[in-house]
Amino acid sequence: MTMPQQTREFHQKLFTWLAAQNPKVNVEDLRPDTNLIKEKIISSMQVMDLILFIENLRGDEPIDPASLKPQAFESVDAICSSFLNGEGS
Amino acid sequence: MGTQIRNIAERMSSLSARIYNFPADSIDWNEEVEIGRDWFTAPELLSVNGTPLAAKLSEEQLKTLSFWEAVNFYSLNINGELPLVHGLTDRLFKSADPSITNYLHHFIDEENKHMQYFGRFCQKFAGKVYADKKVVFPQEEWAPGEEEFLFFAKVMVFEETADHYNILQGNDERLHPISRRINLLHHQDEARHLAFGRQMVLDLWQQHSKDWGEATLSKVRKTLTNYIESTWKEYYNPEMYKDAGLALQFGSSYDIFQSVYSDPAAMAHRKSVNKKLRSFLHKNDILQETSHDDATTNP
Ligand SMILES: [Fe+2]
Ligand SMILES: [Fe+2]
Repeated sequence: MTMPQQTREFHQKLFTWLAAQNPKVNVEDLRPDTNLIKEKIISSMQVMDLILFIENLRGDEPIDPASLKPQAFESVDAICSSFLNGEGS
Repeated sequence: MGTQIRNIAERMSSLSARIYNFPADSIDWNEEVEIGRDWFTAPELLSVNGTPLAAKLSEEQLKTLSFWEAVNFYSLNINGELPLVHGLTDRLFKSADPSITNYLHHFIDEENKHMQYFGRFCQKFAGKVYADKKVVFPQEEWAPGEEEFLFFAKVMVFEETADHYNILQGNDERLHPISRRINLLHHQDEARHLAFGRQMVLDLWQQHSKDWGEATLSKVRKTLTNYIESTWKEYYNPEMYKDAGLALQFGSSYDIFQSVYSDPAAMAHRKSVNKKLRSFLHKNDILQETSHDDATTNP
């Protein structure tokens, strides 16, 4: 099954962003289902930045605070399905 | 806990008891609020102050932004006070010292009242409180005293930063009377919270840090350093640029946030606001001068 174009773009942008935050991580090492919390790719402190970045990907649309749970940031897939129109693969 | 913290707790309790009141009722909520006409944040304290963006804005735009920055400031206070009240409630009866418990009752009472006037302003004049964008990942393992120390250290960082704004704005005649009053009221209570909080942080540090290994020490310092930075980011919430109508004219609100946050003028501002806090942390070896700096880094 092929991934919609927009999903691929979101994945790529998120991978690039994540790698830029963490010097130990390369874009190529990231998969949509990589566990970002367990693998310590993002910390709670970086989530705020990530949220702002996600809102930017949403066209500056603030995200619903009720959906701000740690699980929503567990992977790029989780991020896409929680915040980016359910565009997870 | 030592006698010093008990003395402070007792003194602060008696001060709190003496001024017990309903601060939100001392504000004249019928004062007219017109966005774009009055200052709600002092112009020097606007996030954009000294940046190239500020130079491009008309006075009316700056005043409009000053309203949304005030809404953001009150919102971030609410968003810090909610978990603070929660954390203090959890600790109410854990101390063996009744004077600490007694002071925590006042502390909780006062924070609840702060949320009343901060919240009322936001709801009445902006129709909303900006959402909290902090998400805490649960930590499975804590060294003895680590969680306790970080709780009070974070409260201190958050309150010291906000108090700087309160002090400067509480008597600023340029500000709309409601905003001026809110800043004054908040500072009056925060001065006591900070006196108690600093001693609490110091006691917990002295009690526990000597038993923490290098790994815990460095983790605690990193958490605190990061916390200082993320506390600051809340002062640059992209939503306020959007609500002030700047996003249409100057790119996305995220771009505005990024360029304002990393502007040298904004960095210098953060550094100067944090001077007292940092010197306290350095003097007591809680943070080290060399530990990688601070709110001056880029987003
Ligand atoms: Fe407060
Ligand atoms: Fe406080």
